[in-house]
Order: sequence, then structure tokens, then C-alpha cells
Amino acid sequence: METILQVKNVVKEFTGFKLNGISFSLEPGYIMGFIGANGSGKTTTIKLIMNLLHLDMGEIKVFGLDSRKNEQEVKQRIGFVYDDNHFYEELTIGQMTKVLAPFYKHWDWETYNRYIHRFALPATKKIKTFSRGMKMKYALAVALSHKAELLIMDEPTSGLDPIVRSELLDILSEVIQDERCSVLFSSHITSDLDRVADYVTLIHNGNILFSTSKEEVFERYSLIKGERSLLGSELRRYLVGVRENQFGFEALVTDQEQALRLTGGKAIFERPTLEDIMVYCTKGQAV
Amino acid sequence: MKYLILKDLFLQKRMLVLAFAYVLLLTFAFQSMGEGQLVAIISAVGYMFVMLGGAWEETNKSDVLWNSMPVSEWQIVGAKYLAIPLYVVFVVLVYGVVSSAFSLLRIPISAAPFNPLGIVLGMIGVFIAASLYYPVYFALGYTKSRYWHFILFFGIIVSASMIPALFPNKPAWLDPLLAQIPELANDVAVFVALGMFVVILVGGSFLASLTLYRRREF
Repeated sequence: METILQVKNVVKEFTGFKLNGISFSLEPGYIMGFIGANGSGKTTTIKLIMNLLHLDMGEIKVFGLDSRKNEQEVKQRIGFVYDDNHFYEELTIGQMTKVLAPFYKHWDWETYNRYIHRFALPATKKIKTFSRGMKMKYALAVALSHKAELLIMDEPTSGLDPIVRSELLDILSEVIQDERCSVLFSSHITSDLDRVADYVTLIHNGNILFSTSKEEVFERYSLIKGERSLLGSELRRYLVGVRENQFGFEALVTDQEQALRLTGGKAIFERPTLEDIMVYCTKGQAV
Repeated sequence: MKYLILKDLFLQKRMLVLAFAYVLLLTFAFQSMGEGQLVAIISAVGYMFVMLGGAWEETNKSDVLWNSMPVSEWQIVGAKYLAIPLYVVFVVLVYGVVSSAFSLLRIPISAAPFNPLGIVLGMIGVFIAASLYYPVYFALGYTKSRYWHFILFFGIIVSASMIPALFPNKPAWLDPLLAQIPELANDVAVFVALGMFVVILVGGSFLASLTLYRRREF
């Protein structure tokens, strides 16, 4: 099957920020977590994919098609959920959907009504009266109602309570079960991605630090904890980042076997979370 | 594109109360204009709808929505121009209610009677103002183009109110011009020429708006 999304050597420069020729790709039927700190380039990348920003250099292919030259066709097959609400606050969702739906060739009212019912969204209330969670659910209902093959979600869970977040993640898991739809899920709330992501791409200061399967990420990195006396110069060579205090140290290590040998079995090794990996890989204390 | 216009109607119908207030105020202010009153009111209030349409888009950051959907830029831009006649219908309806109310309640404010020529000229006024406004709006967005909007809006009101004083009769400089082009002495020919001017202006404005909008980033 064709690659759903391919970002290749993409460059975009603003005053004070640059995406430095980033590349990554997403295969059909998977969820890719796109993680990074605020200001790392996640939203810029998503806006470039959606053609909301112009490319300086590079190429973006969606469904094997150039996303610029085939913009309308590509967007027929993309569903999107953004951090901010972009629907008209003064309209009801009934009015809003009446305006939006005709633009999608494969709009499915039955699916839409099923989600609206499932999310208990009132069709006659104005969008401005909705909570943040309700607005996100409405955006998700729209995104899922036109048989999208790629869902692009930019920080959809930020500012949501744990129940709504959990509900959203359950739906995403359901959506990718048909192995036709893929999801690019940008977030700095990495616990959400720990749960649902198949692949993880970490971006920092406009550079991709890694883009690989979640299993490989967890195979590659371990969390090591021990007394400060264990921190010799040789061990430091294997540490991605280290946090020291008067009692000891905690670090991310890339070669657990070497670290185990160098500490003589006196250190503790744990499975890191994505947050640990993100923090240690980006905090600039790599040794 | 009709759904983008439908969206404008959903949003603008909420502004009818404001339109009533503007029409009331301008009917009072433009009493001395005679038949020009209807033209000036349609132009000014119609243009207000044009501006408010832009304000709704900015408030809701809707450019991100439309440009993320399978909607082309020419549809987004074109819908704004095509909504203008509907704005004029709104204003005409409001003016009809206000002038009828004056008449029924015997309020001593003179409101020019409806006439097709006044409505057409009013619509031309809105098209001209919108043609000058939209390229700046589509290039910069509502917030950054608001100073240009205010210049245009007050320009319409001030120039409309000054025309009777400046030109109580046909300006003398027009006669030699008309003598050079005898066809223009005919009213129909004047209308055709005016119509062509408006079509060229609106067409040029649309192309400029589209080009500038395509360069924008969101």
C-alpha cells in the first residue's frame, strides 16, 4: 500500500525559527505521535502539510500525490482537528454542518448523526455555548464523517479533562481498526501517545530527532538511576541526558548493556515514558 | 460557492438590528439629499455588511477552516463578491420598513421613495466600495485592513452628503466631455458605460483579491 504521508526535506523559515529540512513518513493504518515542546515546529509542520503555509523548500506528498498540485483531491481525503476552534461561534452546529458538508464528495450524514448522538451534541445550540471538549468533539465528528483516510490532529487534547481525552483516544483506536485510516497526532501531552501511538516522531527546534516505531523507541532508550559516584566519564558517553542532584542521578541511556557493565549492576534501570524521552532528548543537557 | 454565501446569510441576519440603527441614523442625516438619499443609504449600509462579513471571518479565524477543506481560494474570494447583491436586498428591506414606519407614524423625517434606479445605483456604490476594500482585506485580513475600511466608509458618507452641495446642477466641465462623445448624451449609453466600468472594476478587484489571497499564509 502507498505511503499515506511523506514529508521530505521540508524547509520553512520565519524570523527566529526555521524548520531545517525535516523528513518523516506515515504508513496506512497507523497512528503517529508527533511530539515536541511548544515552539518546536509541530504546528508549522502541520500547517505546511495542510498548505496553510507556503513551503520554502522540500516536498510533501499525501496519498502519493503532491499536496500542492493536487490540493483539492488531497483535502477531500483528510480530516482535521486543530487546537483552536475555527467554526463560526455564532452558528449552531446544524447550520455549520449544513454549510460544510456539501464541500465533501463522500460526506456521510448517517455517520455524522451517529457521532453527534454519541457525543450528545445539541444541534440547535450555538457553538459559542459549547465547552472546549464539545467543540473538539464536533470537530472530530466532522473529521470522521467524510470517509477521511488521514486524520491530522494538532494538539487536540490540550486543555481537555481526562474523561474527554480518554474518549477521544478510544475513538482513534476504533478509527484505525479498519487499517485504512492513519492519524498524525501532534501533542505535548505524551501520556496520550504512550497509549495509542504506533510511531513516534520527535521534533525539537525545527529538527526531527527521531521518527520510528514506538517499540523501537522503547528498545533504544532506558531510564537509569543511581548514586552520583557511578557517573564516570565512560558512562556519560552512553547517556542522552542526565539530571543530577545531591543524592544521585537520573538519565536516559541508549545502550543498557554497556551501562549495566559500567555501573557494575549498582544502577536501577526502568522503562522510560515518552515524556522522559522527550525531556531528556530535548533539554540540551546531552553529554 | 452557494454554501459560503449561505454561511454569510446565517451570520449577517444577526446584524439586522444594527442595520436598522444605521438606516435610521442615515435617513435622518441624508434628508437634504433628495433622491440621492436612497443611493447613499444603500451604499453606506451595504458596505457596512461587506465589512462585517470580513469581521466575522477574522473573529472566528475561519480562513484556517476553509483553507483546510477542499474549498478553492477562488470560491472563498468569489463568494464575498457574490454576496453583495444579497446585502443590498437586506438594506432595501430594512429601508422599506424604516421609511414605512416614518410614514405610518407621521414622523417628520423625509425618506426618499423607492425607485429601481436608486437601488441599482446604490448597489453599484457598494460594488465600487467593496472593490476598493476587498483586495486590501484579502491581502491583510480584517484587523490590518480596518484603517483602509474606515477611510472608505467615511469617504462614502462624506462624499455622498457633499454631492448635492458640490453639484447642485450638472457640472459645467461635463458638457464639453459629453460633446466630444455624443453617444454618452444618451441615458442608456451612460448606463452601459457605467455598467462596463463597474464590471471592469469588480473583475479587476476580484483578480487582485484572488492573487493576494493565494499569497497569504494562515
